[in-house]
Amino acid sequence: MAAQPEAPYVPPALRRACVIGAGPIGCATAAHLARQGMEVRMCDVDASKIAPLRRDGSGGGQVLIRGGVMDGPAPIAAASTDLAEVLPGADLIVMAVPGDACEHVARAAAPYLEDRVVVFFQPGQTLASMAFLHAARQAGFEGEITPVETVSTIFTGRLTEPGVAEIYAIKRWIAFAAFPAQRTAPLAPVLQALLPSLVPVGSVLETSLCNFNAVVHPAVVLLNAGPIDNHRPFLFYHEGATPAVMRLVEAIDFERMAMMRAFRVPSESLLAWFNRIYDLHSPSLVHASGPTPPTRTSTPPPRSTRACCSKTCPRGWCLSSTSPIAWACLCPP
Amino acid sequence: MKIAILGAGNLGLAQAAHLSSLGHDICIWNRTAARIDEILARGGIEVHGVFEGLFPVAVASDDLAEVLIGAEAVILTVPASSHVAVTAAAAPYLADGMVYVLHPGHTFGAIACHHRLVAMGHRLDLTFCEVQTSLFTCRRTGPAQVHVSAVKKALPIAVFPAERGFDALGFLFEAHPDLVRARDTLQTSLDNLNASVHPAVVLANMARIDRGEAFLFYWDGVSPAVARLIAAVDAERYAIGEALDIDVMTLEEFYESAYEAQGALLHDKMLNCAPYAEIHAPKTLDTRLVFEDLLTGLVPYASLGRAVGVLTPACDALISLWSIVLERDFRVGARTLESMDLAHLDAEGLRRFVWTGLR
Repeated sequence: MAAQPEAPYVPPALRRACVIGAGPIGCATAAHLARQGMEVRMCDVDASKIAPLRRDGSGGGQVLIRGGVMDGPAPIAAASTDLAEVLPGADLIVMAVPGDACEHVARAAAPYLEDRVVVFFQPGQTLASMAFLHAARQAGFEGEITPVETVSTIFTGRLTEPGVAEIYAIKRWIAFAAFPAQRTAPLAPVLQALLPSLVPVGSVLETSLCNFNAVVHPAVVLLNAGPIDNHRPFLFYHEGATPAVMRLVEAIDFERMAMMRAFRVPSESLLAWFNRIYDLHSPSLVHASGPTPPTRTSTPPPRSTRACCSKTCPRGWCLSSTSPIAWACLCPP
Repeated sequence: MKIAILGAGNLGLAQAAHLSSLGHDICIWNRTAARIDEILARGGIEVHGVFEGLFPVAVASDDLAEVLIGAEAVILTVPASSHVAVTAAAAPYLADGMVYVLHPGHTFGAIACHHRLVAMGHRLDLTFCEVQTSLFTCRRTGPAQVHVSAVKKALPIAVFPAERGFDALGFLFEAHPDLVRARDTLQTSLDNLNASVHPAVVLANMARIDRGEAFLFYWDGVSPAVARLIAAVDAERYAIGEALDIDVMTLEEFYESAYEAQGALLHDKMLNCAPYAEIHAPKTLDTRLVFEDLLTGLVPYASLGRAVGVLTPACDALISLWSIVLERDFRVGARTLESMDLAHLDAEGLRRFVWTGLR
């Protein structure tokens, strides 16, 4: 289908944010945006994660960030398990939920979406923009919406208790793109003013096809399904990503690269990305997988195999693997 | 009766000793001479377990001519992935009227060997026979010593071409009176249960095998999720059997009948299978449990599935994943209908072929 001509896009002023998902990424993003002067509301399906964010009884509360890179409290205007209470009025929605929750949130949010809202995915996994838009349309939303995908989370850390996140790193150079792509350039200054890490790229094809988590996680979990399902502890990458396992990862990455070439979008191999992020010079993933600092201390996912797969298969898995510091902190020495 | 046994591994030693105990003249061949030398030095095969003793052999040699010439029956006990190569090497010494037993046949053992002999230009009148799985639970404890912990009961055997019936197999029924006559070699080929189990279990434990971890292959390597993968493969095997009008034994039925292993789900039955307490994982990914069960199991299943219109996504996924990981296309060199020039046949044509042997 040919692209529809569109009137010049003028991005909305971003004043009120609704962060969906009160995990580490949601809390960090909420804190950051609140400190930029936005009014921030939060929503999570888990009431225990919401409770501390509204503790003062008047509806407002706070998130607390530790970990050394952006420490301190930040005000939360409202928090609820009910989108109807926190979504109306938001001109920026931050989606910090697992990838497979995207459509569910879109359907639930459809009645409360403001016209021209920007929906910012942290991260976009693969095709979150189109999946959200499609689900919202099916649920009856007829207004205009601008989904924005990122290749990776901006913040890396973990939730130590509800409402309290340890953030170890704020990443730089996070590629983002809006859908449709002609809105990326007009949106860039608005988003970059809030989140300076963002770098615009061609389209959501580029962000969607840089979903490295999807290349790595299902393969490593599959080829360790027996020990994971039988609760045998092991170091997820250091022990679980053997040369044979990485041959499968390489084959999946090869298919991803072939797709990127077919779409004529710039591509970077997992190996090149791995070498760049971790400052290595490995000739192959098989060699890169073993003794690097970030992989040595990471543990297998503390969930059943089935849960891991269901998180990974629809649109990748949101466990970030881009920061050595994060991996080092996931597992106490 | 002069019987040639090709392969002096676990199974070959047990089979040779058992038939020797019944008074047959046993001529045993092995590719590597070391085992042969030990058999000659000891004056036979030493058996411990459910039967015991030193059982003499008439001939032990690494020369196929020496063991095959004059034999009335030949029993192959080499890995199934070597069936065709050994048959090709044996061809010059085979003679009309011989019984040619594939113990076990895995999937398509008889028609794969028959096809190779025809392709080589031999016009031999052989009666092929497939045993569904190994008749002995045994492990070799030395070059000429074997421990036999069980002689399995009521295993199916089939003849190719099936219309010949079982007349030529009297010696085998005498040695194993409770063998069950299967309709044809499609039945024994589809009852290759190893293929449903081994590649899936090794795959789901690939990393720990790849790094050399020791663990109990079934009791520690099979989990509820792994058992679901095994069951998915087995369901495809069963569906192919239904399309061919064959009453295939399911894996769950097998555990109940062969091991008296009870349990609600396949996983429970596998955990309740007592002999699995001693089965350890392979030490490397380069194992029969992968290449043999792909080349002479899952790849033939997928090929049969295509011929009879049964989708085999689980088999296909395992074949693809193993081909990627071991950097070898397991669809090449495997027993497919194409490789045996049978791709033109549908279910009815295949059944007619295994009955008559005529293309």
